[in-house]
Amino acid sequence: MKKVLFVIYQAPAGSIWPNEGFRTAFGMYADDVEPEVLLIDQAAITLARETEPKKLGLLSIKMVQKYIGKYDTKVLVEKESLQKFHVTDLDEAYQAEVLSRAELHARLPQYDHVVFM
Amino acid sequence: MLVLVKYGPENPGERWKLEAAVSTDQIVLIQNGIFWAIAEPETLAGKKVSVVQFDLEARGYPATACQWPLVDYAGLITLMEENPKSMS
Repeated sequence: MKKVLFVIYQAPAGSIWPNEGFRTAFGMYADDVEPEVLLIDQAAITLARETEPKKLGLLSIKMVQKYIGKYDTKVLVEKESLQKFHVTDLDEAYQAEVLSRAELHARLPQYDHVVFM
Repeated sequence: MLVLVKYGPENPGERWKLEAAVSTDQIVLIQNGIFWAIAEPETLAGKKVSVVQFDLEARGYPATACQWPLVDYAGLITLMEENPKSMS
């Protein structure tokens, strides 16, 4: 089974990429692929409890939580990005693992493909 | 691992990729990724880099503007075949 890491770096309010990143990852379960999702830079705010593009009338990001739970999708977030954007209250429904940049870099060789979105 | 960089230094995702790339990774600068070679070459120091020649020349730079090996599309395919793992 191939392992694919989807890396999202844009904020969920103002770009569709966090939603698309999760959606693409969930779609991988139809094939022989094990997906994981990594949030870096502005995308780290996706995991904040109060972040919800629906407040602007945009597509909800919280909707992905249902499928994270259903498929047990691994979600990673970069510690330095959380600090940079002052995210301290993480929504536990994302089941995210916080890793440092160095830890993430060391982890990359285990993936067959790393896809930035 | 093949590391494809298609956006320039303004892109945080591409900067993250380049920081993550180790000396054995093959980096290819393609499309606006060629601007790393022009505007921020120090970021590429010590790394294995190739630049897509067509993308360099299409943006008005001569081959001599670049200190890294240039590849054509056939060369790019060869690099992809040599590196089955990718970060793109």
